[in-house]
Amino acid sequence: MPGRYCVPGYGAGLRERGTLGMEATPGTRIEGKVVEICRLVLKDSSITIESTSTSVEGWDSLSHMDLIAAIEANFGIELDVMDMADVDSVGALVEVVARAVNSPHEEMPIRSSS
Amino acid sequence: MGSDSRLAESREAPASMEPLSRFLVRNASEFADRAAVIDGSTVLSHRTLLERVAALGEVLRRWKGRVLTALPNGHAVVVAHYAALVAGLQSLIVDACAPADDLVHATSAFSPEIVLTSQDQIGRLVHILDGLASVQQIVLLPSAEAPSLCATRHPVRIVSWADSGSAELIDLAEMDVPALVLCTSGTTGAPKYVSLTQRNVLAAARNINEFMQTAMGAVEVTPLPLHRSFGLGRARCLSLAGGTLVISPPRGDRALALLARHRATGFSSVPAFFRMMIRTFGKRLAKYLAPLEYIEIGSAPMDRADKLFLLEVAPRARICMHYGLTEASRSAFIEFRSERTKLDTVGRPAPHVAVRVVAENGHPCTPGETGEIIVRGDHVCAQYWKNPELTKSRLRDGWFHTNDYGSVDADGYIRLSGRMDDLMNVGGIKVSPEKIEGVVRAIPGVADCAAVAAKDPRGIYGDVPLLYVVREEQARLSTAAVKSYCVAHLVAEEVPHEVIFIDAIPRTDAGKVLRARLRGGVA
Repeated sequence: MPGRYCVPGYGAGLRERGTLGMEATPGTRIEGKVVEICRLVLKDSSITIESTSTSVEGWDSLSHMDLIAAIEANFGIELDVMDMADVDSVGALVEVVARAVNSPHEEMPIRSSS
Repeated sequence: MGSDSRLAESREAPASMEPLSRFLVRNASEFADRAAVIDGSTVLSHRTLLERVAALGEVLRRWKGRVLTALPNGHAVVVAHYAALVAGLQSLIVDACAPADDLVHATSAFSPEIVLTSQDQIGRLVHILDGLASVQQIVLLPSAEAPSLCATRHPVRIVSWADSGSAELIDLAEMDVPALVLCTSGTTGAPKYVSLTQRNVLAAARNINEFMQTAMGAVEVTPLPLHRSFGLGRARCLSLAGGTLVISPPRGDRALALLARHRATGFSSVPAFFRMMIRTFGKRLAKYLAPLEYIEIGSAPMDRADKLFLLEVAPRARICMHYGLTEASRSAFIEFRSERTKLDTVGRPAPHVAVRVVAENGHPCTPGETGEIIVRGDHVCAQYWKNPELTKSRLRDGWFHTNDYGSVDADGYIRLSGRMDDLMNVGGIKVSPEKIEGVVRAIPGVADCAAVAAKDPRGIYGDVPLLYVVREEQARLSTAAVKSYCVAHLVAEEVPHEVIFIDAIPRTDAGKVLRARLRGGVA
């Protein structure tokens, strides 16, 4: 349900793009949620699936670690460190998350890393 | 400890010192095909490292003069440093990716005759170098990236590694002449340039290996920048031990992956990096750190909880933390496991090093009494570059005066109380408030400003800069505008964590900022 993904300032944008709509496939759900988490953690609302660590100003070594923590907390998974080491774009991050998520699961509301 | 508990003295006399070239030749002979440096997809074997050092050394020694090495972090920094060392030339190493203002300051202060950089960096540096009358020769290392196009008024020589095999290592270096200049932030805010001899840097490496019990053939991953004392020191330690230095990007997951991929036996970094990894990966770190034989930590204080955590996730490792300065690298060490009851100290003097705490009158303090920490040993710098006044004030009667306050306990363990100046320690990087203020003052609408250290609320960096700004009357200046100007003109550690507008900066009659009052929040 789209409403569950609403985070002030972000949720509306997501619904407009429809990435988290009722018809979304598990793949696009993961993609939308990863993009959303990236936007929150890296504090850049213009982030898309195409964004890379060099194109996003706030994507530094510290925020990358925050990103890992936020992804793991929100998906309830543990990312493979060896896989993560090669991640330098949102698209690559989506692939690593998709591998870690074994089956379609009940989504958790987005929360920022603590 | 010793009979005189007021002193924390060296444990034995220094051994004789072989030049670096002997170790490089030995490594190329005994461990020819073993990796000496691994940097992404680039692997330099000990044989290749020697060939490159010999080839570049041969090029450099054709010109007599000071060498400015301006390269991005990576294996080329090690090659360039070693080549200048064996060519007997004094070199200053800077990060080619540093902000332009820092590069201008460093290059103009050092007046280099030779500039050593790479084909892909020269385009970025050429406008700085063309403004330097001292430069007589630019030497370009080949790079994997596309060469940047530029024209320069200085003669340019491009080095090719293809014919490096023909060169033989000829060592022109003497042990006690200035060999390396490293930049460190100063008490007055202006950078200081520390001049080290080959004996200084190799003595430090010998002391470190001895304390850490570094095994021959060690394989170490480090995310440390090689332009700085800690990182470059790790390269020399590994060369003395015929080992392998694996250069990691400064990202926790990549460092861990490299540990696993190369079956590393060692790891080195600053406390902020460990904090970041502990916070993100927690107990999962054990999978990567458990095989390690040693860990070296330094450059900033570390939380006790993190020290205990590392003991748990790296159960086989000697976990060694140093206290030192660029001027006196690794003057004291503590090993967490065997000295667990002393984790609140910086340990005892490193092998072959003497440390004392003295009162203002120069007399040794009694146990527990606070005074200035002074250091003696063949690792201590010979002088500051072109700064005889500072040299005279800090190097007295064979002792280096650190400007740090502390005490020695009855067991000879050194307890640090703090810095004698206002420097901030942001994740191991020393940040000068004066430098931040100098940049912020140039922002239109800023009447006055002052930067002070605040505790990082995220608990990562130790200190973070806090900036107080007084706006000119009618000025429409936002905190976001100040921050974004800082992002464009300062390195990341120097960018204020928070910007606060106030009515006036508290100052003394002489105009000095009362930082303690700002730190106390009484603005």
